[in-house]
Parts: sequence; structure tokens; C-alpha cells
Amino acid sequence: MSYHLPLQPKDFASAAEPRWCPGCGDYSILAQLKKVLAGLNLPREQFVFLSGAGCAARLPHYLRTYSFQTLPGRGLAVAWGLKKVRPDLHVWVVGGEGDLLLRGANHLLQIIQHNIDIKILFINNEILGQSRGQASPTSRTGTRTPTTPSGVSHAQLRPAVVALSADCRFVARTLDVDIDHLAATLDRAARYEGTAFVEVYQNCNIFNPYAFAYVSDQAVRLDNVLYVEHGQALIFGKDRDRTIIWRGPRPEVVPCAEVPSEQRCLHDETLEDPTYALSLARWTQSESANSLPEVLGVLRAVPSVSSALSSCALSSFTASSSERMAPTTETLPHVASVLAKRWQQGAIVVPPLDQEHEHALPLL
Amino acid sequence: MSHPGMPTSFTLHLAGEAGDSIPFLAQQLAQLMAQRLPTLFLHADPPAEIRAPPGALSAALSCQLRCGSQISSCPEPVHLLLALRPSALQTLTVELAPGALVLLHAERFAPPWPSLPADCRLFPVPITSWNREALAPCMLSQPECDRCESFFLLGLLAWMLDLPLDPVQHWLRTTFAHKPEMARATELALIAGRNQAQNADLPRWELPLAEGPAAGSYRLLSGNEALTLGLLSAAQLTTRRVLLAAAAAPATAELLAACHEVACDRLVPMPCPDEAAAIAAALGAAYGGQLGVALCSGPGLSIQSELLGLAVLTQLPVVVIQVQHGGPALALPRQVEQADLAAAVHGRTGVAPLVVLAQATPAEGVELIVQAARLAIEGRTPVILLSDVHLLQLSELVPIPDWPFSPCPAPSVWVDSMPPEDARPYCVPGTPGGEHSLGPLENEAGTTKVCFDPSNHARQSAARINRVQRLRAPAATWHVEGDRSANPSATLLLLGWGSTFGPLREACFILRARGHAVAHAHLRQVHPLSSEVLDGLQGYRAVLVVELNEGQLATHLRSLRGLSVRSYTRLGGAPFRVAEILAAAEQVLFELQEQTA
Repeated sequence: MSYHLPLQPKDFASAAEPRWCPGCGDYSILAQLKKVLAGLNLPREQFVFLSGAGCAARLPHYLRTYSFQTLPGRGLAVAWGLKKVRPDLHVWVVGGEGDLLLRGANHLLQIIQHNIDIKILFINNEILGQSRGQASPTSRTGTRTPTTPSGVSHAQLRPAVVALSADCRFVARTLDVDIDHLAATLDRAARYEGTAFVEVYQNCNIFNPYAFAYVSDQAVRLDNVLYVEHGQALIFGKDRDRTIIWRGPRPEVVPCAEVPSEQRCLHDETLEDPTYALSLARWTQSESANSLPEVLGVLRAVPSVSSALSSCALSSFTASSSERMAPTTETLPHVASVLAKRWQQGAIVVPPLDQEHEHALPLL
Repeated sequence: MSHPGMPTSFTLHLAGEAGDSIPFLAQQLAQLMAQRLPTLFLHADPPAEIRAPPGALSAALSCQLRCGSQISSCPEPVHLLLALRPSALQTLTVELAPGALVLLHAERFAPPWPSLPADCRLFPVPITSWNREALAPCMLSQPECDRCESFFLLGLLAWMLDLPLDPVQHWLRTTFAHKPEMARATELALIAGRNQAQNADLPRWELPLAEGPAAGSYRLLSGNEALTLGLLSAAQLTTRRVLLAAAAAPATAELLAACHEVACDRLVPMPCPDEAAAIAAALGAAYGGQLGVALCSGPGLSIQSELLGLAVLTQLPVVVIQVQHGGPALALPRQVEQADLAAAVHGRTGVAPLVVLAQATPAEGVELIVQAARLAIEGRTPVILLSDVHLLQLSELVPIPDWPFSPCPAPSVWVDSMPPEDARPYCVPGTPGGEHSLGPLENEAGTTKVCFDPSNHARQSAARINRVQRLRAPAATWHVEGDRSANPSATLLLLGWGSTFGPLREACFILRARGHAVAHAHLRQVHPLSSEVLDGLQGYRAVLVVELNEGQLATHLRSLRGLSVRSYTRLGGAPFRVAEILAAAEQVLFELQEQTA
């Protein structure tokens, strides 16, 4: 079936009808993702979406790309194997926290550590939706669920913090209902060479409604959210009147008026040291006065070192499929020569019976 | 021993500790023996601990060399034992053959000398002082002198076994070409060892008489090396890349390292955090149109179980190399057991049939990997290849074949051969117009559309069983070892799988030489079994299934067509000895005779 670039978002819709609960944030993520994919101007067959299990893991089925839903947590590892032998493909993994932070945590850390060129779309709704509302590792302390009737007792794990702790070089956080920000963030991730980790706050309106109201409700969100942009000052608030300064090791919210503009902290996403990004990722809105804001945007995007595996630069998608097959193996020896050489290792030569050993020498 | 066809053998056991150059000595002696005898085995038994304190029992390591004619088992009772350390003697797991000679490194043993069976002879020899004396003219420091000790031992053993020294001399002069003083010292030690053995009137052991090997190039091939070469061969024979994914584990460390050494355009090794990641990565490679191979050992296979089920459901070609060792859990990480057969055949949830092959000899690993890869690709199915820690450590002498040097066969020799009614549409990512969605849920027949209809699931499950039943590796053919026409009236069939091949084959030769009507068959494709195999089993009065477990193959066979088989099993972490199998087989033969009478 032939088609012509550029494609439209609708060209990325599969025949399957999305089946999430009405009002689920996943609809918005799917819509923005299709928009972003169309904007990349790449052949549709170059995209592979993998997932494990859970509501979010259904998303690949609704895309008209290659998609493979595997088993809980294993989408990441399948993606890694695929990328290892098919570096020409544009590989995405989509999952919720039950998928990527429970069974998949091990694979997640490994992929980040090796900086494999895979885009990880981490959909965080702080609840295990498909498991009928059980507590997840990202559930907030105190959340009551069927498996935690007295409230979650564990500390909350924050996906972006986990990724940054493993030194992920591209980490962003966005929100399902902030569609422009969502699309822009996904677009940045898609164009990054190396592991790109995007955490999307997603509202599960059945099992964990209003979990993100403090960052999505028009009435309060500007007071609670700091949108970061590279090179821009850390300013937030409905009236854009608050900024962040560090007093010693501790960040504090102060009125802008107290800090001259040239002394305000500018967001730098390119820092090699992840400490700053980690600090931003940890902040969250609280009831206390002068609460630090929740940070959305690209927290870290260190320009990619040209790793052997991140050869899937968008610019390279011009050659034909067969030419793109072996970008990482050009310099490797050919299998036939390696095989022949290996067979010869430790060879024992038996001379013909009537011949002395080739190098027979008189004994001393 | 006068019967024609009776195996004749010589077994040399070298026992010491790390630093005694035992593996080096064994390799050199193997090279010398290979000049005389075409059948040679080398079994290495590494120390229990990586860096055990000297003298500790866990520091002991040994190598056994066995050569002769009609032999195939190793380790076996020892004819000549060189014991370099007390710990090596204390941890010795093989018994001494009648009339065995024991050579002790006298300076490292305190008298009284260890007691031996009455018919064995002990020779304490002061190796260190003999070697130092011999090297006195070289003006070397004492440590340098002592480093040459293994060459002194080599000379000494070569004299006792009447082996030529010139290949070693040639090796020394080539290796130390840039260090003439080393070349001279080592060669002097070599010759001094030989002369000293002669002067001290050490006994000589006559190697068995057999036709020597034909002129040509040979090598010792271990199970580890064979599997490495097999993976390379598979990569050469298919147009696909082979991804070898494996998690770190002691049993597979050497094999994985070897695969990293031979990484090339077609063989891509990938270290993984765990076995689930390894099989998942293999699945990813298969999904990408390449071949995925996951390497695991012991309980690693259980972790892979869920993803093998997914591979069955999604019809993806993956090969799992399972290195068996004593279990459950990590019970005996370095010792052999064949107890993963049931797990390989049945160990998945749901009805998830796949193919199980088993490696019988070290060298066979090359061919079996190729067969496994081909079967996986052509049948679009997971294949489990069972190996074990004994096979990986065992080496055999094989001729170096011509074929890896001939031009690569035409590409695309292996194509997906699934009949269309069974197969889902198969399109590799990157193919324009082939975009589709694949998942872990039941599909409608011939599509990737999710379908929960019970009758569809029944049909699809039956199709999965049929598909695997139809697959036949060349290894699946029914084959009775040796010349069947020479023994058409065999009443007893010795049946085995995996690494019991060596002792079974040798026992069969001995039984035949003793006049018994015995045959031996060894299964390479253990599951599914063809009707040809099941028919073949019915042609004997008795079938004795010999395996290192609690009877897993025997149980499997009994469940098929209600076959009546006898079972001889043992657990304990050591390979079978020929004598054990002889005793078991003779017991069955006696019972058959009684029945006839």
C-alpha cells in the first residue's frame, strides 16, 4: 500500500477502535502522539511501538505502525533486542508505572544505563488501572486502594527521578490535558538520539480521579506548576511573580521582586551533572506556604554523544531500507573469516606417516 | 580384552592446583597423543573457588586425558595419575583402574604416602629438585627455574608414554623465538624430564594400539567452543543476524566470553541483566526479522518460561541454549545433571509446544545449533537446545572441516516454511504496507486479530501442537548407533539423550564384544518424537533408558503410546561411568535370559 509523505495524524490511526474508559487521559496522549509522528515526516513502517501490560500498553494497537504488545514489563527488553539488530528502526516503548516500574524496572535501568536509542513514553496515573485500582509504586502515601485499605504506607516513587538517578540524558515531564505542551515534549523526545524518557501525568478518571488536579485545574495550576524552558528563568505563578533561588543547598521560592533579573536562575537542560535536574524532578506542590512548584518540561537533554547504538538519526532516514540495514556493523569482520579463523585455533597438525614432523630437531 | 571390537584405552589424570599449569600440560600432552591415536578426550575439572587459598580442598583442579579406540566416555578410571598436591588427591572424584600408576610430587607430600589399592603402584618423585638440578647450567633464578617445571613434567610423562617430543620443541622454539634464553631453558627442562624418567627407571605404559589418525589438521573441540562455532555457522548459513543474549552466570561465562571474542557482522552478543531480558531481547531480534538466541543455565530456564510462551503464541523464531546443571535452584552449579528435560518439554503455562533438541557430544554442538536455528526459522517456533556443564568442559579431538573455508552458501537457504493456514501474516518491521499489531492474546486463525472465541482457541491450540509435531530436524531421524547390520538381532536397546552418549556408546561396544545382542540409540530431537522413533523403540525385547535424573525421558516415553521401557537413573552430579551402565545392562540381559528360560 503506497502513500506519500508527509502523512497526516489520521494516517497513523489503526483500524482498531480505542477502548479506554470515557474520559481517560490516554485518548489525549494517543491524539498528540499521532500528530507528532506525522510531523516527523518519516515512513510509517519505520516506527515500532512496544508495550507490556496495562491500560497504557494498549496504545500501540491503535497506531498504524508496527506494534507489539508483549508481557508485563518485557516490552523494554524486547525493544532493546530489536534495536540491537535493527538500529534503522524508530523504536518506542509505551507503558504505565505498573508495567515499567514493577516488572520492567530492571530493564528500564539497563536501557537508560546503555543509552539505547529508544523513546520511553511513561504514562503515570499513580494507580494500577487495569488491575482494578490497586496501589502502584507511584501512588501517593496514604492513598486508599483495594490492596491498601488503610492507605499506601510506602514512599512515592517518581518516574522522572528514577530515570535521572540512572543518569538518563533526556528526561521530560508533561501532562495529558496540556496538549500543546504534551505534543511539543513528545516531539523533542522523538528527535533525541539516545534514550528519551517522557513521563506523562495521566488522569485515571475511574480509579484515581483528580490525582493531578493541582497541575491541571485552570484555577490553580499556574500557581503550582513551573514550566521550564532551556535558557529561560525559573519563573512561575499566575502573575509570573515567583522564582526559585538556592540558599546553600536548599531551593526556595521567593518573589521575583527580591531577585534582580540578572541573578535569576536560568534553566539549563544540557548539564552533564544530573543533580540540578534531579532536584527539579523531586519538587512537588504541597500545602505548606511557599511550596516548591511541580516542574513540567524538558528537565534534562544532554546533547547526545555519538553512541554506537544511537545511529538512528532522523537525518539518516533517506537511504533505502536495505542500505540502512547495517549501520553499526560496517566495521566488524565478516562472519566467514571469523569462523575460519576460530576453527583453526589450537590446530594440531598430524604429518603423513612416512614423514618426520616438519620441524623435528635433534634433542639437546 | 581379546575380543574383537573391545574398546582399548589409556587414561591419564593430572591433578593439582591453580598455578601448576595443569591445563597447559594437558593441552601439550593431548597434542602429542593426537599424533598417535585418533580418539582423544580431555575433561577439565576447574577449581571450586576462583581464588582459594593454596592447599585448600576448594583449590584443587584436574584434567583427564583419555585416548584409545572405540572409546567415547570421559572421565573414566585412571591408569596413570600425576598428583601434584595433597588437596588434588583428596578431592579426586575418579577411581584408579586396576594396576594404575600414581606419580606423586614427593616434595609436596609429607610421608607417610597415601595408601592405594593393592594392585596400584606409587612413585614419589622429587620433581622440583630434579628440575632445578637440570637447569643449573642456565643460571636462572630459582623462581624462573620452577616456572619451567611443567616442561620437565611434560618430558617425564612423554617418556613414560613413549610420546614424541618434537612437536613441543617446535612449539617452544616458535613461541619463545624472541626469548632465546627461555626457549633454551624450557627445552632443557623438557629433555631433562625425559632423561630423568629414563635414568630413574620409571615404568612405561604402553598406549593402546590403534590405527593413527590420517594426516591433516585436527583440534580439541570443547562443548563451549563447539557452540560458539555453531552460532557462527548458523549466522553464516542464514542471511539473518544472530543475536546472542545472555545474563551473567558461572556455567555460561566461558561460552559468552567466547561469543564476544567472535562478534562479527552477523553474530551480535548482548549481555543482559537477567534471563528474562535475554529471552525478551532474543524475541525482539526475531520480531525484527533476525534470529534470537538466548543462553541460560540452571534455573534461568524457568525465568524464560513466560516469554517462551509468548514466542509460541506469536510464532517467533528463537533458540534457547540451556546449560543443565544439578538442581533445583543452583544446587550443583558446576556438576552435571540431565534434569531439565521435563521443564523444557512441559515447563510453560497453557498449551505451549516447542521443539527440544539435546546435544550428545561436545563437537556435535556445531551441527545442532545450526539445526536448531534452521528449525526455528523454517518452523517459526522456539527451539530449546539442552546442553550441560559436563559437555561444555569436555573436549574431543576432531578434524578441522573444509566447509567453513569454502564460499558461503547461497543466502536465504532457510525460509519460513509455515503452511498458510497455520501461520499468521508475517511481516518484518520496516516493510512498507506491512504495519500490523501483534500481542499476547489469542488470535483469529491466520490473522493477528484478537479473538476470545473458545472454539477459535481450541483450533489455534491444536494448530500449534500440529505445527510443532510436523517439524523434523535431521536430528529427529531414528538412528541406531554403529553398524546396525552387524547386530540385527539385538534384544536390548540402550536409549539415551544428552551427554550420556559417551558412556552408553562405549558400554554398548563392550557388551557386543562380550557377545551380547545389544544396540544403542541416542535421541537428538527429544521432543516431539517422530512416529519413526516410537516405532523403532518397539523393535526390541527391552529398552533401557539411561539418564542422569529421576527418569524424565522414561516417563515421557511411557506417556506416549504406553511404551513400556525400563529406566536406569542416577543423581549425584557426576557423569555415568561405563562400568555402571555395563552392570545395569547385564542385569537386564540376565532378566531377559531368565524370562526366556
